[in-house]
Amino acid sequence: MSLPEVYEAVSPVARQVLAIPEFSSSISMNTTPSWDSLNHVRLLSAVEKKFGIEIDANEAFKLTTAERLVQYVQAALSRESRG
Amino acid sequence: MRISGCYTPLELSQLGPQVQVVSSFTSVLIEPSLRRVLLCGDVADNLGFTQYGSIAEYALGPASAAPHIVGTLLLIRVEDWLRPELKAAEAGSVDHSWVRQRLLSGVEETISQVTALASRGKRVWFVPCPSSGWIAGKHKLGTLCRTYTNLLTARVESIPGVNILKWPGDLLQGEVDDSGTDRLGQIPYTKDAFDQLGGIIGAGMSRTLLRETPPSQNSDGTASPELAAYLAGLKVHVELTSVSPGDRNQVDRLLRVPASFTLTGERNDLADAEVDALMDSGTCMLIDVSDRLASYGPSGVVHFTVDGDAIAVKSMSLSCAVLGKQVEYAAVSALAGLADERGLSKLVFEYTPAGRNQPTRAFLQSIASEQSERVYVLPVQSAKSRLRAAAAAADAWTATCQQNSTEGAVR
Repeated sequence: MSLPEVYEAVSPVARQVLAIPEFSSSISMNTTPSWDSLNHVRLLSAVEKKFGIEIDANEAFKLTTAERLVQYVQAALSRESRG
Repeated sequence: MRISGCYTPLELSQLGPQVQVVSSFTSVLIEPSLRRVLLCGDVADNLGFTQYGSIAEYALGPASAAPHIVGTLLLIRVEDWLRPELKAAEAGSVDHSWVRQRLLSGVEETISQVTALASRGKRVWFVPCPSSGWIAGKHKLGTLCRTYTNLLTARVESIPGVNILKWPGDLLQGEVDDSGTDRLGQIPYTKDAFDQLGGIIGAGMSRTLLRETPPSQNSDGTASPELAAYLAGLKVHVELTSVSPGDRNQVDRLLRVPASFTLTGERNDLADAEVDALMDSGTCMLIDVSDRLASYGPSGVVHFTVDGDAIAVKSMSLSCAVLGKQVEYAAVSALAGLADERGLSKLVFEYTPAGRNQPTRAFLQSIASEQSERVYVLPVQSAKSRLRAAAAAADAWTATCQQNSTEGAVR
């Protein structure tokens, strides 16, 4: 999947968990009050379920911006399709 | 909603009646629905939360006897006791005799904590939560955990004054367990499940109040000897070690994530370059924690510089899993020992107020002199006595400090 396609797929999940109107590259934990540590875990879990991937718990704490999260998902999906 | 231990005396005097929710897992998602029911039932205005390793400190210490505390709701899932050791273990690699021993220790510890709580003259509600989470699933420990949950419940039943509320499994609609959030954040249930749990458990709590007369107050609210004895028996050991390149991920995580014990507050915005710089500084150390019950591994990080005759502590963070064990006292005693070895006269802590790190400030205020709102100074010569005076159990820890090729043992 291309990055814009991944954004489009992640967006409804993120909008629902974080209760935000829009999910774009400008969204991050720092800029979004509802993206607290609790909702961070819920967001990652929802992304895992949506895409059938497992996010490495040792990497999870770094995925605190929309960009990093989407790039991670794209890389995970790439690995799965190659493997 | 505030995590326990963060109130000033003035704030305490102004608090309405509060129920403290004490859980072995992340349970704050229960707050909205539980609070609503308790408010409607005139049970409490507020909820406080005590989680993971801080349970003993709350149950055995004075906080559980505070005037504004109406009672304590305990949500205990026995598989959480296994998490420190098993979260990184491969499936199929677990020694069941070790698991049984650990679960039995957990039962004994919990019984002594619940007994202490019941003696405070406040309400105690106990909900045994099923071990159907990520740890139990990964290591196929469901049946074993069920056995020890039943043992724990039977032992709690014999403690006078404790109300056991049955797990409302057959009343919960939809998906309940969430192994993803459990694995990533020790949040066992879906948000919907927590919403339902809050309503059902809150109703159960309210019903017990209609049936019973209030317990009589028979505690003077100090309760420190029990906590001191518990902490002394825990045999906490803290080791500070200089970071090596392989520790980068740990350092990164420990700088970013901790929220309640951290000098700098949560650092979600930490740049990779900042982490690299800290790794290369030569004065960044991991705080490794173990006690009689478990080995928690790297559970904190400290970074300091040497400024004149002082060790200036720029950042110090501890993960929630090790709070309530006096790890912060042990870590500071190790730093004081390091300063003494180097002929330095004081430790200077630079504190940045953030959303949830008030407990860090409370700790600094208890051991150091406030030079300004953000700077706290602890003279090395008086560090030991100040730490002893402030700790619930003085000298109940050991600490070692290994910096590069220099080793130092401090007590």
